[in-house]
Amino acid sequence: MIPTETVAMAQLEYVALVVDDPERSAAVFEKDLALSALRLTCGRSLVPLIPVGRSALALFALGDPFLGEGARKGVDHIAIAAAEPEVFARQCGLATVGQVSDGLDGNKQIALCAEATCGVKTRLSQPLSIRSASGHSALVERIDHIGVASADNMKAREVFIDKLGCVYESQQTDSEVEVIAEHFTSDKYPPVYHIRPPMLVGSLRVTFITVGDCELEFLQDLTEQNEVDEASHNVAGTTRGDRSTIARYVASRGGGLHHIALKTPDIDQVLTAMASAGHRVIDAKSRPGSRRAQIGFLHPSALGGVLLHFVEREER
Amino acid sequence: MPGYAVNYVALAARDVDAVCEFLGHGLGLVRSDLALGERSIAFFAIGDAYVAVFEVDDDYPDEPRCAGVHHMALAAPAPQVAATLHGLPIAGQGLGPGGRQFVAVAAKATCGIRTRFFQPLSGAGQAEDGVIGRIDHLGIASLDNQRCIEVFCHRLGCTLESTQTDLEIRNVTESFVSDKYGAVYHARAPEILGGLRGAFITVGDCELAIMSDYDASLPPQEYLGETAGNTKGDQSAIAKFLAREGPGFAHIAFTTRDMDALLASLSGAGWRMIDQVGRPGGRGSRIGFVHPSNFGGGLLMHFVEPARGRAP
Repeated sequence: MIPTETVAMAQLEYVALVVDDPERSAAVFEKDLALSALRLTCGRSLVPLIPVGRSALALFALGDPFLGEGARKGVDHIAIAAAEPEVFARQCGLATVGQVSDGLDGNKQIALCAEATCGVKTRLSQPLSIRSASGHSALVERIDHIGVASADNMKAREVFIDKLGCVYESQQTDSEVEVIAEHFTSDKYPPVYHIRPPMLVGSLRVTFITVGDCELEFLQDLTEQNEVDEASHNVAGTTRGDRSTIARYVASRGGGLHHIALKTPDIDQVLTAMASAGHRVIDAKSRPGSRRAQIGFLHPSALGGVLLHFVEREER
Repeated sequence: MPGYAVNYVALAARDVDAVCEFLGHGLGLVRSDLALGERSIAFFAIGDAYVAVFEVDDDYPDEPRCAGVHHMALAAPAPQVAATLHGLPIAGQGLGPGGRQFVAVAAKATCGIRTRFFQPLSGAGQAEDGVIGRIDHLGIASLDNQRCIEVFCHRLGCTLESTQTDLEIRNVTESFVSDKYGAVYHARAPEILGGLRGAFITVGDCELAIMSDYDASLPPQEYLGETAGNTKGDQSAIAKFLAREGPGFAHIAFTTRDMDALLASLSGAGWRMIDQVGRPGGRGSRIGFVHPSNFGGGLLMHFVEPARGRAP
């Protein structure tokens, strides 16, 4: 007898973003990115929910009691679908925080202990019934990935693949190498060209793990011996800068959810559209990113404190 | 020989004893003491010239009273005639070391390069087998190389030996190597980090190495001397010198046949070196710097192992 699939592939119900003003951020998704928004109750709050692909972005205000202690602006948590959250948590063997309670639209949900999930705040939630809404527009196809500052990608694979039923997608190493040359040019002596040994100025191991129609992107600094550059959202990004960002995050709060990336059919068009809508754009022109993508970041001020970037790439 | 030859170079030192110890025992230069008024001044023979070591507050070097290479004395049997002949304004004159007449030229007439005409001391000339051959060059921080060439070549008749441009360039490659998506390499355009434009003017058996910042909009490095030197560091040193003291003498360089052996032996004798091994320098040479902290600061020296074919 052929064994039936007992554990279905994990589905991403929503990603919770904490912003200054949920309605103002919702307007950016609606007006500037042409996505539609719903409003769902969550406790006493009315939470804007933006369906994106087969998942959704839920916009919470800082201080919403649903978020629990210590929430900050940015990507707060992800919710994985589970018809019976408590049962699923027990099956996974992952510790929970508190009891099952009502979440978005009254769906039952429970929080996993973040220490057990590499700092990625994760909830198990009954599926939302929002499938009537369209999750894409001319500028946004779906969530491409959710970026995670990671201290240990091997541990992340154990937790999210072996325990939570997500699927390994790919792994890569991003490096920035600097080579300094000195060039002496004389009107009398022959030219001398002297190249100093290459320096690895920043490197990240990037592991992609599929959850639903997008990936968790675990970013682990491989150049811990290097000094960490100061933060700057004013210059176009580089691997060196990305590596410093991850190193700073891990040093100050351990691993955790860091940014969100939306897949777009035309990166330069979406960056131009956001800039002409008056938003601060970190990368005015797209630059190479992981998975043969072109990427471009929005300044966190554009979305009330959430770091978001766009991704254009071919499906493989 | 066209133009003029350097007869001595005056160093102003915060720690005269350390400088004399370095030149005498460290480099094996022969010392003689010359009377100057009531005091005696250490003169070290080097090639066809001398290096003289003064206290920072000595009246003879006069203003400014700061440590470093203070002035050069060009040999002229009749100093006043020479200054007048070239139409150079005289800032001071009198009797210098060994009772020789000197005339100090106003520094602004020579692009900040403090110059004296001086009745030459004879008898210099180093033993052939010495560790140090001669002065290779006097390093000069300049705001305008062309103007220095006009003064020393067109006016004083010295020879322009060569000109050069030293640049430090950063090349950055980003790589994205995936187990599913293959490898993507992305090279950014080369970026000039800093550089120097140099003009070498022959004054006897050495040159004036006139160095200007290739691009003054490139910020200098904050810390110097803590790691081995490079072109960016050299540019930073010149830029900082210009900002602090304006154009003028920045360092002195001596030739040696074997850079690495010299650096190792000085290091072994307890002298602090910026460079532990030779690195590429101008005119096809290898260079290595001595840390100014050996001398109480302010006085920068380096060595030059000239390109094959040039006299050490």
